[in-house]
Amino acid sequence: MKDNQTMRGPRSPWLFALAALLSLGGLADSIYLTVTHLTGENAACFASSGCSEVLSSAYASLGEIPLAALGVLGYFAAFSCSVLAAFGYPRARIFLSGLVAGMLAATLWLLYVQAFVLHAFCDFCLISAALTLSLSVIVGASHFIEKRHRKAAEGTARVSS
Amino acid sequence: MRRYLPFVIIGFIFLVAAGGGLLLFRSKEATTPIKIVTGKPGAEPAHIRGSDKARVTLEEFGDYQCVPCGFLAQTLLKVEHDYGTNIRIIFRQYPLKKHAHAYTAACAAEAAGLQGRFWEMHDLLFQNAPQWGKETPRPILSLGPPSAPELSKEEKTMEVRATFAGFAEKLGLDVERFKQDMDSEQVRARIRLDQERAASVGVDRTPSVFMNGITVPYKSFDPVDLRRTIDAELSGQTPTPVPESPAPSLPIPTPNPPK
Repeated sequence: MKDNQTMRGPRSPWLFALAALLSLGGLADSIYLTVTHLTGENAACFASSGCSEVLSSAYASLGEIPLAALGVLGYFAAFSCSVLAAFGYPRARIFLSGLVAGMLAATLWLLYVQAFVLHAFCDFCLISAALTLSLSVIVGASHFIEKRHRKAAEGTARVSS
Repeated sequence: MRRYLPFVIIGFIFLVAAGGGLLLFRSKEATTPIKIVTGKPGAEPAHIRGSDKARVTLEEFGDYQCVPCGFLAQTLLKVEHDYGTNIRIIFRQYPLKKHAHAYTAACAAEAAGLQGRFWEMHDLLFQNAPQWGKETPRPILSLGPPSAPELSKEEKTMEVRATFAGFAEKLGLDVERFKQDMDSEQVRARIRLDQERAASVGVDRTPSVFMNGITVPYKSFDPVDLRRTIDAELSGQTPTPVPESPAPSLPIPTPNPPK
C-alpha cells in the first residue's frame, strides 16, 4: 500500500520541505508556551506588553489542557505530514491540507480574541499565527502547482492520443 | 532506505522535541526556588485580613490590573471563607509599569485604606478590573475608523480615577478626602515601601505569594492546588526549605489597628 502511495513523487517537494521547517518553528514556539504555562513563568515577550493577559486568560486553555499543548500536537502533525508529503505520500498531502485548514481557523479565532476581546497581544502567539498563515499559503501553493501539472499532463495525453 | 527515511526524520524530531521540552520544563522548575523570605518590612501597618492566631499566613504581591491576580483574588476569597481562623492574607502593592492604570488603582486602594476600607476597595477593584482595566487596543489592528473617538491616555486616566471615586462613594467614603489621599505622599510612600519589600525578597512578577515565608509556586495558585498546599502546611507536611545563607525568620507584619 505504501508503495502505491509513494509511486509518484510530489511536484513541489521543496514546498513541503519549507512547510516542514516552518512547522518546526511552530513546534518550538508552542513547546516554549506550554512549558511557561505549566511552570507559571512569565513568557519572555520582547515587543508586546500583553503576554501575561493573553497567556493567563480563560482562552489560553481548553479545560485543563493548555492551548499551546494542542499547538504542539498540531505542529508536530503538520511536520510529519510535510515530511511524508515531501517524500511523495499523497495521503499525507490530504491530511496536511485538512490539518492546516483547522489550524488556520483556530489561528483566526485566536487573533480575533486577542484583538477584540482581550485587547492584548502576545508575541509568541503572533509568531505562531504568522507560521500558520505561511503554512496555509504553502499548502495552497502546492495545490495550485499540482493542479497546473495535472492540467498540463491531461493536455499532453490528449495531444498524443 | 529512502522508504524509511521520512519515518526516521519524524522519529528523530519527536525525540528532540520531547527531550527539549522536558529539559526546558526542568530548568524552569529549577528557577522557581523555594526560599525563606527576608528583606525589607514593607508598608506598616500592613493590610491583613484574617485572624492574628492563624497558622497560615499568605502574603501576596499583586497588581490590580493583572489578570492572574484577579483570578487569585477570587480563589483567596473562597480559601479565606473555607479555612476561617486558620488563615490570614497580607496584600502588598506591586503595580507593574506595563499596566497603565495599576499604580492609580494601588493609590485608590491605599487611599481607601486611610479611611479604614482597604479590603472593600481591594475587592471592588479586582471585581471590576475587566471594565476599568481595559486598555485601548493597538491601532495596528483597529480595522477601519473607530465608531467613537478614542480617549487619550490622560482622558482614560481621568475616567479611571472617576470610576474609583465612584467606588469610594459606593463604599460610603469621604470622596473628596479619598481623591486628595490618592495623590498624597502618604499613599505613595506606602506603595514605595511595598515595592521595596518586593524587590528585597526577589519578587519579579505578579501575583507572587509567600506562605509562612516560603514562596508558593505559580502552578499552585489554582484552587485545588492551593488548598492542597495549605493543607500540607497545616498538617506540618511542608518540606522545610534550606536557606542559601543563614537568614532571619520572616518578619510577619502586625495587623492593622482597629479603626
